Amino acid sequence: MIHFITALHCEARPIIERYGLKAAGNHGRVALYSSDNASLAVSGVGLLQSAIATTALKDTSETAESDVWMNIGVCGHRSLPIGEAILANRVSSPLHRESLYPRLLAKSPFVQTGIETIPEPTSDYPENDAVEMEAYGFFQACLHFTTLERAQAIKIVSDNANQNAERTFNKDWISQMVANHLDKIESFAQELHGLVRDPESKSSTDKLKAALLSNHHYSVTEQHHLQSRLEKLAFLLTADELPDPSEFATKTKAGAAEAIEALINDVAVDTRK
Amino acid sequence: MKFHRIYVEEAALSHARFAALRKRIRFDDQVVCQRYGEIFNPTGQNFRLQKQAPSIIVALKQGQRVLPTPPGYGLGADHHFYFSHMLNCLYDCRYCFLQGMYRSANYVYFANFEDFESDIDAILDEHPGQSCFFFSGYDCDSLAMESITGFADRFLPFFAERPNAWLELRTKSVNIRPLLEREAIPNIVTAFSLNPDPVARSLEHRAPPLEARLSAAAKLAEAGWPIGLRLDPLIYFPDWEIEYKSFINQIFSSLPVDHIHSATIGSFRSPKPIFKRMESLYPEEPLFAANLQERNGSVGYRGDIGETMETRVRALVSENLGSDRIFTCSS
Repeated sequence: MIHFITALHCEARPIIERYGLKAAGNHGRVALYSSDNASLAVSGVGLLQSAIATTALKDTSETAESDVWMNIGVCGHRSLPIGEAILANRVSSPLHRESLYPRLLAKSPFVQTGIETIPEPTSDYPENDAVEMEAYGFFQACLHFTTLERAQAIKIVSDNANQNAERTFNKDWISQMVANHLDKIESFAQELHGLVRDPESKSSTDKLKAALLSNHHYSVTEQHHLQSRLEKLAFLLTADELPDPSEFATKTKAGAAEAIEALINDVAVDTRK
Repeated sequence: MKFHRIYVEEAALSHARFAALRKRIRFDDQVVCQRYGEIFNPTGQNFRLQKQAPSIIVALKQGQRVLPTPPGYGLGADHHFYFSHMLNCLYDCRYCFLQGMYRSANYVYFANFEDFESDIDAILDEHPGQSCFFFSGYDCDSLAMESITGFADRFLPFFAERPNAWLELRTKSVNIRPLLEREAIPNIVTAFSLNPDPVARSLEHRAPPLEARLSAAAKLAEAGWPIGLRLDPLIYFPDWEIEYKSFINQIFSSLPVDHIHSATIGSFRSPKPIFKRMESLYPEEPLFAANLQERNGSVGYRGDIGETMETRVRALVSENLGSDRIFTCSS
């Protein structure tokens, strides 16, 4: 699943069309969209709005750890040509001491540069970095639920020292610029999504857990321990290898715990590889 | 070697060793930072994911560069120290504590070798006439990335001129060219981390096969270089005793005993917080599940499994090497 955050509806429009996103309500002023394989939030302009929208999208979407989060929008840059797409390799903000460094695990099809998230539009461009108004907030929010490998910001240059924003800003033109890069954005997102797989358990121990909880009284601490050991078992054994819950019916609580530990201990380092 | 992105501390930009590194690698993007910790230390990183495509961070090591080893980690010298010109490793050994110690799998390369040398000299000055052992492969593999770091090229001549200072190059690499290009230096020990072939194939991902490591060790021994055997960690599995017996035979039929400087032996163990992080990164890994227990803040094999393995393997090694060159790793 890929989740997009844009500041403006005109930036979102090509993404909505590409992924067949449907309106999924609002969170305050944040407009939400979703489909089976993607979701999107239109945040409004600014760092705080971006952070709120990212959090709202997380809270209202079905998400997995391996999901990819992308902040798409436009930016200004002193020298890069209008229409160039950049991938942020460092994100800073004059309001924050620490820079953030998104990690890159795949080949980037975009020019890479730093991004400075500023509170007001400017035509006083930094020497090297691009300027925009949302990315820092997006990353700050993302860091509460994902990691720096799974969040990226891609911004398309809409103004530079030769052509300022007031002269160039036009909603259809912005949509077209995003649309021009959507193939690359999509394939980059897919590549990241393919890379960032989390380990999956081989089986479910839910039935075994239910049987044990119905047979014995477990304190809260004991339930946590039981859950942890059963999760371990689920990672190690396939459904065929798991014991039938009925085998535990006659066991005492301690006997059941011993049996689970014995199952775990029987799984040795696989030296047949 | 190819990287999607490299990072460099601003202070290291003008360092000659950074310029040399840039010529030896290929990369798509370079990011300048103030301190390597900005990239290496923050939360919100996934070691397992980064291990798929690590970046390299070039930095200048500040603060304490050469440190005393923990108690129980020595080879019989008067004093033992360790230093790390790199953090993290090319290989991906499932039992390695680095994956639980650091949040990032990116390689950190400290380019200021001269400062390490000054610190080593200062330590030697503090201990005149005494033997000091310096371990270089605690936070990295000493030789695996030699082609881009030039670490051995620089430090072999340095230690050659300081006979009271011993250097251990701890490695699984077969990249021994920098040593074979020189006359053997008696106070430099190339210590190979070894495990039986089934363990190596199962857990030592991306590392050269056991046979290749033994072959590299044999070549070095033949050229007169002292060899270390690092049988640490010993890994428990159903046929461990048969496999380790055959493994020890394999070692001593491949290497001349006279050139073996030392052997160290230690069963798998880890400080609990590091173990917990490794376990959460690889929940499906049997190594982190079976036959373990926590004791005094450390996770190791349950009951007497670890001690039994150490005792049996020590006996097998001492049959070939005698007992005075065998050391047990307890930390």
